[in-house]
Amino acid sequence: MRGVLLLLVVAALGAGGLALREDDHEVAWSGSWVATAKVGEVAVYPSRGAAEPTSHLKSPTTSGAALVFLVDGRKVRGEWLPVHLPVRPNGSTGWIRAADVRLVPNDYRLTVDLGERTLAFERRGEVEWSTPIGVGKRAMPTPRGRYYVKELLMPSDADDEELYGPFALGLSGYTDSPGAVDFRGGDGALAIHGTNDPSSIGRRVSHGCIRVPNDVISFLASTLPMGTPVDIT
Amino acid sequence: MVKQLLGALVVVAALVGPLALETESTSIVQQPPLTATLSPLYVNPGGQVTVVALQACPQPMQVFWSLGPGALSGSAATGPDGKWTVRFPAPATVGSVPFFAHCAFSANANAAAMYQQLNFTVVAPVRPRYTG
Repeated sequence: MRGVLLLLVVAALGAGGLALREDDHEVAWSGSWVATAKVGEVAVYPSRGAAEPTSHLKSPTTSGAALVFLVDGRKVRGEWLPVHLPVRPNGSTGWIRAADVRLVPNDYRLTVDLGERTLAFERRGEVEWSTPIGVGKRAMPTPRGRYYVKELLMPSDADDEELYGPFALGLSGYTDSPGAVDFRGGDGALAIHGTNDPSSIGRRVSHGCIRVPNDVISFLASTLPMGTPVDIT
Repeated sequence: MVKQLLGALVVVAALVGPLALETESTSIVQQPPLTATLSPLYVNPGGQVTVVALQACPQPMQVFWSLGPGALSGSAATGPDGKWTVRFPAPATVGSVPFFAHCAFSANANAAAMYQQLNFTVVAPVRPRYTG
């Protein structure tokens, strides 16, 4: 009996970093927190405890993916959460109710250096590798800021795959550059994606998106949780 | 109830196997991986995922499965030959999802568990329209 109890305690400790009690969200974590909607519509408030929301975001989103947020800060506490929002203008933040989301810790982070044209992959605060990337042209620069991965798409026809490679990780940010904002009938959303034109890697060639080699985007697609922070500097 | 408790213990043993082996008075033994095929590898939210055993559980019993660590998602009875099939809808959250399957049996008077992790990826069901 003591062995069974010990096993259950070990299991609780093992899963402790992955689960939060509903009544106590005061947990510190060295990485970041991802909040995934568990209701069909998440109300966004301008401040903690505000009476009226400023907007509502639907889940699933228009892409069919569950709505996710990157929690702003490493400590989550109480009934309210400060979050980064996947809306214009870039850098938008707000407050949501903790009861509307499921919280999961995340060890990963991507950093993009536009000057060096590199993307670095971090896990638990350590850079594990970096890769050359293609970035926005001078007339359509990739906007700097803190974003997060909000969705994963897989191009399904040759035309899309030519441009995006095997996968595209949609980011929470947007470009407002003329000529890029409605590219391909879209809304100017940024992404990290592959390309079937390897010669574009390492150059300023895109409308604002970040291009990585196809083997890199395949790895990222099978590794990164939604909500992973992406810092573009 | 007994099956659920047994299932929970098997999941625990598989997830914390190396630690469990060192605990006092435990009779759980880890076994080689339980081979199976999962399809499709890429699926839209809500799409059906099917996992079929390639290797039978040594004794006809229940197979317990979970998506991600820490929670039991369901169970399925094995056939008389120990083979099993699990079907479930893909989660709404896109990205990589780990599927864990475990089967429990007794070997040399010990409770034993075989388990397997197979990953699949949930992708949003629309064409990309990013800035390129």
